[in-house]
Amino acid sequence: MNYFLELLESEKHLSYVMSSYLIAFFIIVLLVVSSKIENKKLKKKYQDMIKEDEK
Amino acid sequence: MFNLSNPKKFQNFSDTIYPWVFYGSFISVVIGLYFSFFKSPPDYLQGETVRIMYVHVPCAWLSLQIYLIMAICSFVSIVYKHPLADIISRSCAPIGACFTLITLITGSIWGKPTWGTWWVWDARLTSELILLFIYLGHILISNSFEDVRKGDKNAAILTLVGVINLPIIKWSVDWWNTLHQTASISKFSSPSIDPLMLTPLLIMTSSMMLFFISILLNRVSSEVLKRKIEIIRINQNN
Repeated sequence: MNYFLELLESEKHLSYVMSSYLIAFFIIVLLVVSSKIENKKLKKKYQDMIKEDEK
Repeated sequence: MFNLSNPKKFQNFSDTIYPWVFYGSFISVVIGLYFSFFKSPPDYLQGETVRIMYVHVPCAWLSLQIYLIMAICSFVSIVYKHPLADIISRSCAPIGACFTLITLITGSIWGKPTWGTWWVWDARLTSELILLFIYLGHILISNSFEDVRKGDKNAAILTLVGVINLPIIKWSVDWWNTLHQTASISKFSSPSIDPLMLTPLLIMTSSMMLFFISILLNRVSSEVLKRKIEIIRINQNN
């Protein structure tokens, strides 16, 4: 806990540390979410096409 | 293991392990963040900015490893014409590009308080930037042909040519006099890093690896579906 409090008190470095974590996880979460959305869309499209094909 | 080279069996395997990898990545990142912020002391030289290393270094390692996977897949694709190799390579490229981008951005943010500058045309930084351009080139080439196989073949050639950049990135800090520090962790010697700092680094590395695997499984599944949809469309038109 002391190390974290030291980080919060460090005015010089806190913004650099926090911004790098935020940017990194923003990009990763964006990648995860966009991949999941695309996969869901394609699964739905594939199921629809199979149903259409069976008709 | 070879059974997985069949796209359908790979899909079944991927569906089984995906939830474990996906939730595992979130759990491990929470543990990694706890160790990075609460258990790691500031460095005597870098101060608090050493914490940037726990996200920068795993992403840098992954940017190289993902490229290596793409290179192996490209080789398999060109020699054996295996469709799954193309699918994996195509799925890896955007993930690799994102991890390389994170490496460059976090490295730049670390460089400002430590070196006093956001960017220098140092051998390590420049070769990593070239890696980003190769990833972008791969994405561009693989999507710029109407025939998917043509795009995959040309992208595979680019990937194999770009392999030359991997040893340059890895050993640039040894070959040239660079501002970037040399490796602190090596296979051949004990790490020159304190265990209190090594622990968050390794946990964050495994969580980034799990993120990579979960995104890759998702993207491979999407690519397989895209090709199945294309086949159905062709059959319907005929």
